[in-house]
Amino acid sequence: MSRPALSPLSDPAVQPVQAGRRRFLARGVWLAGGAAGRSTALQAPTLLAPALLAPSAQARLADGLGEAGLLDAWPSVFADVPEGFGPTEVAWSRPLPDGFPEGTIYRNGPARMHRGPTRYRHWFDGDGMVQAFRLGPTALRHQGRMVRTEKYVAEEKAGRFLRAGFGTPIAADEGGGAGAGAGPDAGNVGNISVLPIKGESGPEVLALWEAGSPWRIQPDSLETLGIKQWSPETARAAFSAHPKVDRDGAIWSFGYLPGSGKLLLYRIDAGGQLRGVQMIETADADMVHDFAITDRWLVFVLMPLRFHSDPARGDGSFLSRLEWQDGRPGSVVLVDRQTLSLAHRFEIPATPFFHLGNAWDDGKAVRIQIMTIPGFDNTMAAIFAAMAGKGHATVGGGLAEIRVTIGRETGQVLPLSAAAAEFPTFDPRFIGTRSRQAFPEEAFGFNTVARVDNDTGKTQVHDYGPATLAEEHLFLPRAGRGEGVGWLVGTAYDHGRGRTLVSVFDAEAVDAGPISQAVLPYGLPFGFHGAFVPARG
Amino acid sequence: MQMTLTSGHVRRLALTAGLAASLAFGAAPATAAEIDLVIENVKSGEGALLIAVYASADDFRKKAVRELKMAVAQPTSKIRIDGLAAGDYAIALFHDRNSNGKVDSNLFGIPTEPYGFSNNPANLMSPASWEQARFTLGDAAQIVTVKLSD
Repeated sequence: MSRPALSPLSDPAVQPVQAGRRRFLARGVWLAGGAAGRSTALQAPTLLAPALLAPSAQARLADGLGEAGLLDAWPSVFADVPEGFGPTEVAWSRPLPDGFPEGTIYRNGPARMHRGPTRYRHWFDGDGMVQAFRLGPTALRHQGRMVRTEKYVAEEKAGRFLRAGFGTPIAADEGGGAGAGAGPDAGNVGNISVLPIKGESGPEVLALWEAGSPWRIQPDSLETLGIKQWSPETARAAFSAHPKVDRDGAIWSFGYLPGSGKLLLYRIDAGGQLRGVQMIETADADMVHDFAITDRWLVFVLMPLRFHSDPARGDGSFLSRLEWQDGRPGSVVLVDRQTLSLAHRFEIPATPFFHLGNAWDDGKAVRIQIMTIPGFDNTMAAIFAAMAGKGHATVGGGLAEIRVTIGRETGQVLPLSAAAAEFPTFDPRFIGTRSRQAFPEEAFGFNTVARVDNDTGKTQVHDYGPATLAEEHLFLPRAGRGEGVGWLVGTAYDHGRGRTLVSVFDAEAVDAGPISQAVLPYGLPFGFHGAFVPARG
Repeated sequence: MQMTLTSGHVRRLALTAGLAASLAFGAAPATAAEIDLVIENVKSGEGALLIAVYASADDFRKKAVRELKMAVAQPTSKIRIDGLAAGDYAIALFHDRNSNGKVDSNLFGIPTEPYGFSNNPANLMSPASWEQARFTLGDAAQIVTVKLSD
């Protein structure tokens, strides 16, 4: 049985992993620190990873999903997705425990994948659906509703897709090329994540894409209220799908326009008002999915991905104009939070990724946790394959930590775990600070969730079973308790039953399995990211 | 209702550019052709429509051979542009809703007022190129339809 390869961080600048650490690494234990391994001087964070994949399971997936009967899981969850789901109330298998924070998890993800003659072929293409999982003491109430973007409304009227997706062109015989050029929002599917904010006339949930405007969603009805405009100068400008909510409630975000060489920075106060906006110029900002914050910096990890501005290149989709440039390095850019100006740039080995974990400044270096992917092009190929119901390689990469030190020109990428995982998250109360940390993770096509506690070296894994695919799990802190104390809540799709499960774990005992679970009477399309909103009042 | 260049609803904004082009060709061509421009998806009656006609790749989005301003008709506005020599052209236009005479845009330079190009290229991340927007005008009148962005 093959073992998973370490993430492809083969640049000589990467510190070699010491032999004595390999066993830990193979088990997916987060080992930070210097050459001495688990150094107390560089205290490493706890890692809570609810979808690490055991090497055996990873090999099975890589060999083809057919053995597990999962080959048609991806096409099936996107077949005939209705306009909405629910409201549906389902009892928890056990009442939620005392202290569990009542509230709602909002999730977003692609839902509408075909219309008229066209079937989108890439996961990122589909029109977004926002879902609410209202976590009551004895029952879960679920509701889902399409984000009625301008694109969605126009295509409803036309009865066919008018816009190429991220990865799928509209063929000429399907009416391709007939759409008017209209800026990024014309292709805005609002399908990646959500951001709860204090809105213009009450709480709102923003449905986020990353290359265009956020969409305002009424949190109770999930009705689409319109585009979010923070200010005239940022109207219809990109707003990231991974804004960061700081410990004081302030929101930091950014936007990019492929080919522009610019990043737009946003500072929004806890009341939802735009307080600062700044454009910085930087290379390699043609696709920037995530960033991180520390108490002093906004941290961007940039990849050698080039968007070709010539519209004649490619097949009409965005992805076909995006080129991973082999041989070029990556970079880390630090932006001063006070001035919103670019302060430092470091060269790092090219590191393909989508998601960062937490970041902090330890006094000597800025440390950035990163979930690498095995490669950009092959990850995209695996997503196309999964959507087509074909076997695919596992696309989760390894955990790594980037370290950059002010005054130096280059940074390091330190592979920390070969265990494949994705969708990292962490205890939101500790964002931007070095502290004992928790990091849930889940991976594309994966069936396990895990917690890895670095302080103790203990790894906890819950295996959902061979025919169940886990989605992102969120960490919900227990009020008044320390870091990593709370619950892990997430969805998983049981392909055998065609049902989506909502599971609640004690975050300190993930391996004990869910302490409660609700089984929806339907399966949901695989989504991306969510956020928890505590109950009002 | 179709309007022409000579109607009171339209005025030339940049006579110099138009004249320069005319002079370059000598006198106005004897076989002047016409464009019947149809602007769709006009969603408000505010302001005016500003139209620029370009005649070369080098001048595209820089120096128009014709600039026009016309009153707004919903949901479709029509205008005849005449006196053009046969040849290649591209049209860029926008709905100047707030009547400030310029296309408002965000910090990335993306228009925040409805806009469009001839041939309606489906670009999302960049403006149309000359090649995308280019059309060939013969000796006869030609209908060019531009759909404004939302």
